[in-house]
Amino acid sequence: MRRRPSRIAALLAAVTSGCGGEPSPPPRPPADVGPAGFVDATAASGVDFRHVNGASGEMYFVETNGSGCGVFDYDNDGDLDLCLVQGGALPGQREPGPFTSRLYRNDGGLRFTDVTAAAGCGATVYGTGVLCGDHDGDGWRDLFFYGLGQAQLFRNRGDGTFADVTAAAGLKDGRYAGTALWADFDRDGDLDLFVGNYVKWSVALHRTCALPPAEKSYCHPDVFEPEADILWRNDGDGTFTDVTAQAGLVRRDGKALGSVASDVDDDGDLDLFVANDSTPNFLWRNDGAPGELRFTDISDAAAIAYDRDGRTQGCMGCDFADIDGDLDFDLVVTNLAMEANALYVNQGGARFDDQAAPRGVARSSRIDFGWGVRFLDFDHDGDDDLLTINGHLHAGVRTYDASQEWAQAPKLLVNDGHGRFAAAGPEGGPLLQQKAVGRGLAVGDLDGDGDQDLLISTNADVARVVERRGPIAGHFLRLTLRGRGKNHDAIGARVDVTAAGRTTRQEVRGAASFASWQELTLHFGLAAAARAEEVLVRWPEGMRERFGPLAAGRNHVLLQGSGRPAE
Amino acid sequence: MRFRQRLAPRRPLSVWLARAAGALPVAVHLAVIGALSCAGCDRSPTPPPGGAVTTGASPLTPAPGASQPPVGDPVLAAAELARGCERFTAGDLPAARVAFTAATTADPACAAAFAWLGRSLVVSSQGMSFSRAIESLERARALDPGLVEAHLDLALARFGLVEYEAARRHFTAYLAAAGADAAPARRAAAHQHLAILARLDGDHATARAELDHAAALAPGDPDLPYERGLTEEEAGDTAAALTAYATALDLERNHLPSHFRRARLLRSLGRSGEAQQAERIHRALQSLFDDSTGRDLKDPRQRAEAWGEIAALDPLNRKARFEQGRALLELDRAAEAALVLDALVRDHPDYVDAHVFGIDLALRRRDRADAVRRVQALRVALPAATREQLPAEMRPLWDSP
Repeated sequence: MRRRPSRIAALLAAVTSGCGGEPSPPPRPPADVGPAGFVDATAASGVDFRHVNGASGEMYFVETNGSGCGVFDYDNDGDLDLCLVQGGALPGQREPGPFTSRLYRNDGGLRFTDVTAAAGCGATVYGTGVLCGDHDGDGWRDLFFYGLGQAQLFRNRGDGTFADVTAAAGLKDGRYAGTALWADFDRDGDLDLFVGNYVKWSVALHRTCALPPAEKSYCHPDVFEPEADILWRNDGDGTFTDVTAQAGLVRRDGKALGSVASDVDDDGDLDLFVANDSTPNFLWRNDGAPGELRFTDISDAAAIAYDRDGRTQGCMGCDFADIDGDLDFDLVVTNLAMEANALYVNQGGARFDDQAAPRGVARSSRIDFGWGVRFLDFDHDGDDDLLTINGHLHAGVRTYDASQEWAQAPKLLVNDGHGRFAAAGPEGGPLLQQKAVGRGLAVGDLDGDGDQDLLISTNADVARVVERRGPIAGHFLRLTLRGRGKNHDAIGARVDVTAAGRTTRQEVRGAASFASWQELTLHFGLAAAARAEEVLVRWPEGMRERFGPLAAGRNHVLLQGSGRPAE
Repeated sequence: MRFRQRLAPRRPLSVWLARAAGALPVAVHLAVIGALSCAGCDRSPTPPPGGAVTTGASPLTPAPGASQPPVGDPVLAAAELARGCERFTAGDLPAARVAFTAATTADPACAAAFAWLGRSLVVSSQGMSFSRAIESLERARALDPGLVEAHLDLALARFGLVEYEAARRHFTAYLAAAGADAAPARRAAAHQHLAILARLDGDHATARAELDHAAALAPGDPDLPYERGLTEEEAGDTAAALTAYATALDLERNHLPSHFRRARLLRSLGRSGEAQQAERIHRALQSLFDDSTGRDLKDPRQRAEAWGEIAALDPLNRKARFEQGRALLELDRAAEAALVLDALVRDHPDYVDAHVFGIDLALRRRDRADAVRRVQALRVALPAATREQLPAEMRPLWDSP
C-alpha cells in the first residue's frame, strides 16, 4: 500500500502552493495518438466494477435505478480516487453475493487499485448513490451510501481505513432513498445532510405490472406511495438530528431521484432543488438566518415544479450552471425518453422558465432516457456544455418500442455561448457512440492533466473510466478552495472568474448529476485568455475575497483568508 | 389537442412508461380522425386527390411498384377493421389496436387496416409507439399511395420522434394533397405543427401565420391559442401572450398548460394574487390530469377535493362543480352531491349534463317523482332539448306527464 500523506502534509502542500498555482500538468500526449475527445479508458485502468441489480425476471421496481458513483480524494494525496455504488441481491437472483460498493485508489496514469477490503468501506446497502464529503470536518473525506434500506456512513480514519459510524451518528432511516447531498444550509460551518426519498417500496410491496406485448414490465412509480424527504442537521460532534419538520420541509408528495443545492436567488445561502419522478419538483428557498434551518416552498412561484407546459416529468439527474453568462444559475434535469430533458433558465429572482425547446436541449434529448448529467466546459471556450448519460429501464424495451434500446450512448451538447445547445460532432470522441446502460456520472481530472475526465456508472453493466484526450484550443483555470472551518472543501462557496473582461460563475458543489459525487476543484474554460485577471470568492459563511491575477493552465489552491478582502 | 388527449380513457396506473406518449409535444386528439375509410379492405388503391401525391422526391411519393402481398381474407379483415374503428371511436385504443392488428393479419393487403393501426399508435396514450406507427403507416402507403390521410399520421409520428425535417415535409405535402375536403381538425393539426416547427426555428412570423390558419379551421381548439401564447412569449410580447392564454381558457376553462403559463407571466408582472390563484388551479388540475400516468383515475376522494378546490377558486367553472358532484356521489355522499348539483343547475340552467346528472341522482335514490321533476326542469330551462339528449334509460321519464 502506498504511503499516505498526513492531513498536515496535505495542508502544507496547499499553503505552499498558495495562490501561485500548482506545477503545470504533465505534457499532453500528441494529438495524433488515437482518438480525441472522450475516450473509454476502462480496459487499462484496473477498474473492473460490474453493477449487480439483482434482476431475476420478477421486475422488482428497485432494479432499475442504481447506481451512482463518485470521484474524490480519500487519501489526501492530491489525486481523485473512485467510488462505485453497488446494487445487490434480490429474491430469485442466482448470482452469488455478497455485493458491496467499491473504492478504487488512484495510482496515477489513469490506473486504479481496488482497496475496498483494506479500507473497510464495502457498503452493503442496495445502493442508489454515494456522497464523498467530509462530514466531521477532520480533513478526511467520508462516504455516505444511500439506497434501499438503512443508509451507511463510513468515517474516514485518515489512515486509509474507514469505520461504519452510521449508528453512532444517529442516522437511523431505512427508507428508499433516491438522492442525497451535503450542504451547509445553516451556515454554521459544518455540512448538513439532505436525503431525498423515493417511494414506499420493499420486496414485500412488490407488484407485477405489464406493458403489452411485454408480459412483465417494471411498474410505474405511481403504483407506489411517495416517501417523504429528510433533513439531518449536523450537530458538529459527529451526530445528526432530524430537523425536517422544524426546517419546513413538509411536503410529502415527491418521489425524489435528484437533488442539488445552489444559491438560486443570490442571497448568500444555499437553496435546495429536488427532482421528483412523476411528481412535481421542489424548490426550497433557504430563509434561515445563520445558524437556523428554515425553508420556504417556492416550487410553484419559481415555475420549476413542472415542464414548460405545466406537466410533471420523470425527473432524475440535475445540475446547475450559468449557461447564458448572466451570473445566475440555470438548471438542467434529465427525464424519461420522449419527455426530453428540461432546461430551466433562471430569469432572476428565482423565477425559471423551461426553455429546453427553444434552446435546443429538447430536440437533442427527446429520444434519450437520461440519468447522469453535468455541465462542463468541454472545449474550454468559456461557457458550459452539457453532458448526459443515458440508458433505458427495461432490457426488453425493443419488444414494444423500436425507437429505444436498453443501452444508449451518452450525449454531449455544445453551448454556443448564448445558452443554446447543439449535439457535438466527432470532436466529442468515440464515447459518444458507445452504448451503455448509463446511470451515474462523475466529472473530474482523474489523470491530473488539466482537463475533465469522467467516471460513468451503469445498471447491470460495467463502469467506465473515460479519459479526455487530445488538444483543447482554449485555456483553463482550476481552483481548489480551502475553507478555514470544518467545511474545508468550501462546499457551497461561489466563485466568479474574470478573464479577458468576461466573468463566469461557478459554485463548489459535490452532489450533482444522478446519485453521484463530483470533483470539488472548479474547472473554468478561459478561451484565449492566458490568465484570470481576478477571482472573487464568496465563502460559504458569506465572507468575500479577491484573488489574482492567476495564470491559466494550472490548479490554484485558494486558502480562505489569504486573499484580498472584498465587499 | 395536447391537453384534451389526456381526457381520453386510460390504461391502469400499472402500465409503466404510459406517461411517455402523453408527453407528445403536440398530441393528436381523438376527434382528429379524418376521412380514412373504415368501410373495408378494398384492394383498389385510392386515387390521389387532385393528383397531388404523385411525383418528385416528396416523402409522399409512392413506393416504386406498390407491393402485392398474398391474398388474405378480406371479409374477416373488413370485420376486424370495422370493430377496430368502433373501438377507436369509443376511445378504447388498446382494443382498437388489437382489432386493427387482426385485420392486418387477416389481409396483409388491406391498406386501410395498416393505416388505422398506425393511427391508433400515433394517438395512443400507451407506450412509446411512434416507431411502430411509422412501420405500419409506411406499409399502408406502400399498399395504397393514395391514402393521403395516412401521410398526416406519418408526419405526426415523425414529429414525435423529433425527425423534424421529415415531419415538416409530410405536413406540407399533406396540406397540399388533402385539399379543402379534408377534415378541418386534421388540417388544423398540420398547420399547428408547422407553427411549432417555425417557432423552433425562431421564425415567429411564420408561426403566427400557421396558427392563424389553424385557428380558422378549428376555432374551438384551446391548444391553438395556447401555442400562440408560447409563440408570443418567445417573441417577447407578454401582453399578447396573456391574451392568448386567456383565449385558450375561454375555450376550455380547465386548460392546464394555459393556467401554468398564465401564472408564470402574472408572477413576472408582479400580479401575485392572480398568479397564486392560477397556480392553485393548475396544481389541482395537474393532480387530476397528470399527462402520463392516468391520474384521472384517482380515487373519488381526491377528485372531490381537487375539483372542489377548482370550483371554489373559479365559481364559473361548471365542469369543476359537475365533477365535484360526481365524485361526491361515488363516495356515497349523495346529499352533498345533490347540493352541488342543484346549485349548478340554478347557476347554469342551460347545462344539460348537470340536468342529466340530477335525474340520474334522483333515480339512484329511487325517487322517481324527483327525477320527473328534474326532467320537467330541463324542459323549462331548455325548451329546445329533446328526449334523445337523455341516456336511453331516462327517456321514458321524458314522456311522463
